[in-house]
Amino acid sequence: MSDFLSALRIAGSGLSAQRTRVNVAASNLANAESTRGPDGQPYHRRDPVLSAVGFESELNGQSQLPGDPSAPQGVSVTQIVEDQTPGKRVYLPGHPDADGDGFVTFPNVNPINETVNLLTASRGYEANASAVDTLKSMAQRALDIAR
Amino acid sequence: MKLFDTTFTKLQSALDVRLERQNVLNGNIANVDTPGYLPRELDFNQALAAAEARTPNASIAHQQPVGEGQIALDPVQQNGADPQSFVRVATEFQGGLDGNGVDLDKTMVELARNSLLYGAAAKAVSKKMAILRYVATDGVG
Repeated sequence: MSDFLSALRIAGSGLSAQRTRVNVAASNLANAESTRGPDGQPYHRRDPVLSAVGFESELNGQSQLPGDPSAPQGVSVTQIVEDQTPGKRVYLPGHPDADGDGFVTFPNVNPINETVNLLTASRGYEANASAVDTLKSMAQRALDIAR
Repeated sequence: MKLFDTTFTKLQSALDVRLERQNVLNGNIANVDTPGYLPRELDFNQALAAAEARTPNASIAHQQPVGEGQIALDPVQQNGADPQSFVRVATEFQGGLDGNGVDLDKTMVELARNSLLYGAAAKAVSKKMAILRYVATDGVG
Protein backbone atom coordinates (compact mmCIF):
# COMPACT_ATOMS: atom_id res chain seq x y z
CA MET A 1 0.00 0.00 0.00
CA SER A 2 1.52 3.30 -0.98
CA ASP A 3 0.26 6.76 -0.35
CA PHE A 4 1.28 10.03 -1.87
CA LEU A 5 2.83 11.47 1.25
CA SER A 6 5.44 8.73 1.39
CA ALA A 7 5.83 9.23 -2.36
CA LEU A 8 6.83 12.79 -1.48
CA ARG A 9 9.59 11.45 0.76
CA ILE A 10 10.69 9.03 -1.93
CA ALA A 11 11.04 11.89 -4.40
CA GLY A 12 13.00 13.68 -1.68
CA SER A 13 15.39 10.75 -1.38
CA GLY A 14 15.84 10.96 -5.16
CA LEU A 15 16.63 14.68 -4.95
CA SER A 16 19.20 13.98 -2.27
CA ALA A 17 20.82 11.14 -4.21
CA GLN A 18 21.04 13.16 -7.42
CA ARG A 19 22.59 16.05 -5.51
CA THR A 20 25.24 13.64 -4.22
CA ARG A 21 25.91 12.52 -7.81
CA VAL A 22 26.40 16.17 -8.82
CA ASN A 23 28.75 16.67 -5.87
CA VAL A 24 30.82 13.64 -6.83
CA ALA A 25 30.98 14.66 -10.51
CA ALA A 26 32.04 18.17 -9.47
CA SER A 27 34.72 16.71 -7.22
CA ASN A 28 36.02 14.56 -10.07
CA LEU A 29 36.07 17.52 -12.46
CA ALA A 30 37.80 19.76 -9.93
CA ASN A 31 40.51 17.15 -9.36
CA ALA A 32 41.03 16.23 -13.00
CA GLU A 33 44.64 17.43 -12.74
CA SER A 34 45.40 16.68 -9.08
CA THR A 35 48.59 14.64 -9.17
CA ARG A 36 48.73 14.18 -5.41
CA GLY A 37 46.22 13.68 -2.64
CA PRO A 38 46.49 13.27 1.12
CA ASP A 39 48.14 9.87 0.59
CA GLY A 40 50.63 11.26 -1.95
CA GLN A 41 48.92 9.33 -4.75
CA PRO A 42 47.18 10.93 -7.73
CA TYR A 43 43.46 11.50 -7.31
CA HIS A 44 41.21 8.58 -8.21
CA ARG A 45 37.82 9.41 -9.62
CA ARG A 46 34.90 8.55 -7.34
CA ASP A 47 31.61 6.88 -8.16
CA PRO A 48 28.48 7.04 -6.01
CA VAL A 49 26.65 3.73 -5.55
CA LEU A 50 22.89 4.18 -5.54
CA SER A 51 20.64 1.49 -4.19
CA ALA A 52 16.92 1.05 -3.75
CA VAL A 53 15.79 1.11 -0.13
CA GLY A 54 12.48 0.06 1.37
CA PHE A 55 10.35 2.91 2.59
CA GLU A 56 8.10 3.09 5.59
CA SER A 57 4.53 3.40 4.51
CA GLU A 58 2.92 6.57 5.81
CA LEU A 59 -0.36 4.83 6.63
CA ASN A 60 0.45 1.60 8.41
CA GLY A 61 3.98 2.47 9.57
CA GLN A 62 5.29 -0.86 8.35
CA SER A 63 8.71 -0.91 6.85
CA GLN A 64 8.57 -2.23 3.32
CA LEU A 65 11.11 -4.79 2.24
CA PRO A 66 13.01 -4.02 -0.97
CA GLY A 67 11.98 -7.43 -2.36
CA ASP A 68 8.27 -6.64 -2.22
CA PRO A 69 7.30 -5.55 -5.74
CA SER A 70 4.31 -3.56 -4.51
CA ALA A 71 6.34 -1.61 -1.98
CA PRO A 72 7.45 1.94 -2.69
CA GLN A 73 11.20 2.18 -3.09
CA GLY A 74 13.30 5.12 -2.11
CA VAL A 75 16.88 5.59 -3.20
CA SER A 76 19.96 6.09 -1.11
CA VAL A 77 23.66 6.57 -1.76
CA THR A 78 25.06 3.60 0.13
CA GLN A 79 28.71 4.24 -0.59
CA ILE A 80 31.12 6.23 -2.72
CA VAL A 81 33.80 4.05 -4.29
CA GLU A 82 37.12 4.95 -5.87
CA ASP A 83 37.71 3.94 -9.46
CA GLN A 84 41.07 2.09 -9.45
CA THR A 85 41.77 2.10 -13.19
CA PRO A 86 45.26 3.54 -13.73
CA GLY A 87 45.47 7.13 -14.95
CA LYS A 88 47.41 8.27 -17.96
CA ARG A 89 51.18 8.72 -17.64
CA VAL A 90 52.73 11.82 -19.13
CA TYR A 91 56.44 12.48 -19.62
CA LEU A 92 57.13 15.62 -17.62
CA PRO A 93 60.63 15.36 -16.13
CA GLY A 94 60.48 18.79 -14.48
CA HIS A 95 57.24 18.06 -12.61
CA PRO A 96 57.58 17.72 -8.83
CA ASP A 97 55.49 14.52 -8.92
CA ALA A 98 57.52 12.89 -11.71
CA ASP A 99 58.81 9.39 -10.95
CA GLY A 100 62.37 8.15 -11.62
CA ASP A 101 61.73 7.85 -15.36
CA GLY A 102 60.30 11.37 -15.57
CA PHE A 103 56.68 10.26 -15.91
CA VAL A 104 53.81 11.86 -14.02
CA THR A 105 50.67 9.81 -13.34
CA PHE A 106 47.59 11.93 -13.80
CA PRO A 107 44.14 11.16 -12.30
CA ASN A 108 41.94 8.68 -14.19
CA VAL A 109 39.35 11.42 -14.71
CA ASN A 110 37.88 11.91 -18.17
CA PRO A 111 36.32 15.39 -18.13
CA ILE A 112 33.91 14.48 -20.94
CA ASN A 113 32.52 11.50 -19.00
CA GLU A 114 32.22 13.62 -15.88
CA THR A 115 30.38 16.37 -17.74
CA VAL A 116 27.91 13.80 -19.05
CA ASN A 117 27.48 12.44 -15.49
CA LEU A 118 26.89 15.99 -14.31
CA LEU A 119 24.21 16.51 -16.96
CA THR A 120 22.37 13.24 -16.28
CA ALA A 121 22.47 13.88 -12.53
CA SER A 122 21.11 17.36 -13.10
CA ARG A 123 18.30 15.97 -15.29
CA GLY A 124 17.59 13.35 -12.66
CA TYR A 125 17.35 16.09 -10.06
CA GLU A 126 14.89 17.97 -12.29
CA ALA A 127 12.80 14.83 -12.74
CA ASN A 128 12.57 14.32 -8.98
CA ALA A 129 11.81 17.99 -8.43
CA SER A 130 8.92 17.83 -10.88
CA ALA A 131 7.70 14.64 -9.16
CA VAL A 132 7.60 16.65 -5.93
CA ASP A 133 5.69 19.44 -7.68
CA THR A 134 3.20 16.97 -9.13
CA LEU A 135 2.66 15.27 -5.78
CA LYS A 136 2.20 18.61 -4.07
CA SER A 137 -0.40 19.78 -6.55
CA MET A 138 -2.16 16.39 -6.31
CA ALA A 139 -2.40 16.76 -2.55
CA GLN A 140 -3.57 20.34 -2.97
CA ARG A 141 -6.25 19.17 -5.40
CA ALA A 142 -7.38 16.61 -2.85
CA LEU A 143 -7.72 19.38 -0.27
CA ASP A 144 -9.66 21.51 -2.74
CA ILE A 145 -12.31 18.80 -3.04
CA ALA A 146 -13.50 19.92 0.39
CA ARG A 147 -13.72 23.55 -0.63
CA MET B 1 -23.86 16.90 21.62
CA LYS B 2 -21.66 19.87 22.27
CA LEU B 3 -21.38 22.79 19.91
CA PHE B 4 -17.59 22.95 20.18
CA ASP B 5 -16.80 19.28 20.50
CA THR B 6 -13.47 17.54 20.98
CA THR B 7 -12.79 17.62 17.25
CA PHE B 8 -12.01 21.32 17.57
CA THR B 9 -9.50 20.81 20.35
CA LYS B 10 -7.91 17.93 18.48
CA LEU B 11 -7.58 20.03 15.35
CA GLN B 12 -6.20 22.89 17.42
CA SER B 13 -3.51 20.60 18.88
CA ALA B 14 -2.69 19.25 15.43
CA LEU B 15 -2.31 22.78 14.03
CA ASP B 16 -0.14 23.79 17.01
CA VAL B 17 2.19 20.82 16.62
CA ARG B 18 2.35 21.21 12.82
CA LEU B 19 3.32 24.86 13.24
CA GLU B 20 5.99 23.95 15.76
CA ARG B 21 7.36 21.28 13.42
CA GLN B 22 7.44 23.85 10.59
CA ASN B 23 9.53 26.10 12.86
CA VAL B 24 11.93 23.25 13.64
CA LEU B 25 12.35 22.43 9.94
CA ASN B 26 12.82 26.12 9.11
CA GLY B 27 15.56 26.18 11.74
CA ASN B 28 17.29 23.33 9.92
CA ILE B 29 17.01 25.17 6.59
CA ALA B 30 18.40 28.33 8.18
CA ASN B 31 21.41 26.36 9.43
CA VAL B 32 22.14 24.60 6.17
CA ASP B 33 25.60 26.22 6.08
CA THR B 34 26.39 26.22 9.80
CA PRO B 35 29.45 24.05 10.41
CA GLY B 36 28.82 21.24 12.88
CA TYR B 37 25.06 21.78 12.96
CA LEU B 38 23.00 18.63 13.51
CA PRO B 39 19.41 18.73 12.27
CA ARG B 40 16.50 18.87 14.71
CA GLU B 41 13.34 16.88 14.34
CA LEU B 42 9.96 17.04 16.05
CA ASP B 43 8.12 13.75 16.41
CA PHE B 44 4.63 14.82 15.37
CA ASN B 45 2.77 11.77 16.72
CA GLN B 46 4.43 11.95 20.14
CA ALA B 47 3.93 15.69 20.46
CA LEU B 48 0.29 15.42 19.36
CA ALA B 49 -0.42 12.63 21.83
CA ALA B 50 1.09 14.75 24.62
CA ALA B 51 -0.89 17.80 23.51
CA GLU B 52 -4.09 15.77 23.59
CA ALA B 53 -3.25 14.36 27.00
CA ARG B 54 -2.99 17.84 28.51
CA THR B 55 -6.01 19.32 26.75
CA PRO B 56 -8.75 19.70 29.33
CA ASN B 57 -12.16 18.23 28.67
CA ALA B 58 -13.97 21.18 27.21
CA SER B 59 -16.82 21.10 29.62
CA ILE B 60 -18.08 24.30 31.23
CA ALA B 61 -19.20 22.51 34.40
CA HIS B 62 -15.68 21.35 35.23
CA GLN B 63 -14.15 24.81 35.13
CA GLN B 64 -13.18 26.54 38.35
CA PRO B 65 -15.06 29.73 39.10
CA VAL B 66 -12.88 32.72 38.38
CA GLY B 67 -12.81 35.91 40.40
CA GLU B 68 -13.36 39.29 38.81
CA GLY B 69 -10.44 40.49 36.70
CA GLN B 70 -8.83 37.06 36.75
CA ILE B 71 -8.20 35.01 33.71
CA ALA B 72 -9.20 31.38 33.79
CA LEU B 73 -6.10 29.25 33.43
CA ASP B 74 -6.23 25.53 33.28
CA PRO B 75 -3.66 24.11 35.70
CA VAL B 76 -3.02 21.12 33.45
CA GLN B 77 -2.27 23.41 30.55
CA GLN B 78 0.56 25.11 32.44
CA ASN B 79 2.65 22.13 33.42
CA GLY B 80 1.91 19.96 30.38
CA ALA B 81 4.71 19.15 27.98
CA ASP B 82 4.70 21.68 25.16
CA PRO B 83 5.65 20.69 21.59
CA GLN B 84 9.15 22.19 21.95
CA SER B 85 10.07 19.54 24.50
CA PHE B 86 9.71 16.88 21.79
CA VAL B 87 12.39 18.39 19.59
CA ARG B 88 15.25 15.95 19.19
CA VAL B 89 18.69 16.50 17.73
CA ALA B 90 19.80 13.96 15.14
CA THR B 91 22.36 11.53 16.48
CA GLU B 92 23.33 9.76 13.32
CA PHE B 93 25.50 12.02 11.26
CA GLN B 94 25.88 11.76 7.52
CA GLY B 95 27.14 15.01 6.16
CA GLY B 96 29.94 16.84 4.46
CA LEU B 97 33.31 18.01 5.62
CA ASP B 98 31.97 20.85 7.74
CA GLY B 99 30.11 18.43 10.02
CA ASN B 100 26.73 19.81 8.97
CA GLY B 101 24.06 17.11 8.95
CA VAL B 102 21.26 18.96 7.14
CA ASP B 103 20.01 17.37 3.93
CA LEU B 104 18.54 20.35 2.09
CA ASP B 105 16.39 18.34 -0.32
CA LYS B 106 14.87 16.04 2.27
CA THR B 107 14.21 18.97 4.58
CA MET B 108 12.47 20.92 1.81
CA VAL B 109 10.28 17.90 1.06
CA GLU B 110 9.42 17.55 4.76
CA LEU B 111 8.52 21.26 4.79
CA ALA B 112 6.18 20.77 1.83
CA ARG B 113 4.65 17.72 3.43
CA ASN B 114 4.18 19.44 6.75
CA SER B 115 2.58 22.49 5.20
CA LEU B 116 0.19 20.30 3.17
CA LEU B 117 -0.92 18.51 6.33
CA TYR B 118 -1.24 21.85 8.11
CA GLY B 119 -3.48 22.92 5.23
CA ALA B 120 -5.54 19.76 5.64
CA ALA B 121 -6.13 20.42 9.36
CA ALA B 122 -6.88 24.09 8.68
CA LYS B 123 -9.38 23.10 6.01
CA ALA B 124 -11.09 20.75 8.45
CA VAL B 125 -11.43 23.63 10.94
CA SER B 126 -12.88 25.94 8.31
CA LYS B 127 -15.34 23.23 7.23
CA LYS B 128 -16.52 22.77 10.79
CA MET B 129 -16.86 26.54 11.12
CA ALA B 130 -18.92 26.60 7.95
CA ILE B 131 -21.32 24.06 9.45
CA LEU B 132 -21.69 26.16 12.60
CA ARG B 133 -22.21 29.30 10.53
CA TYR B 134 -24.86 27.50 8.54
CA VAL B 135 -26.71 26.59 11.70
CA ALA B 136 -26.25 30.05 13.27
CA THR B 137 -27.71 31.80 10.25
CA ASP B 138 -30.72 29.50 9.93
CA GLY B 139 -29.27 27.85 6.90
CA VAL B 140 -28.97 31.12 4.98
CA GLY B 141 -25.21 31.78 5.20
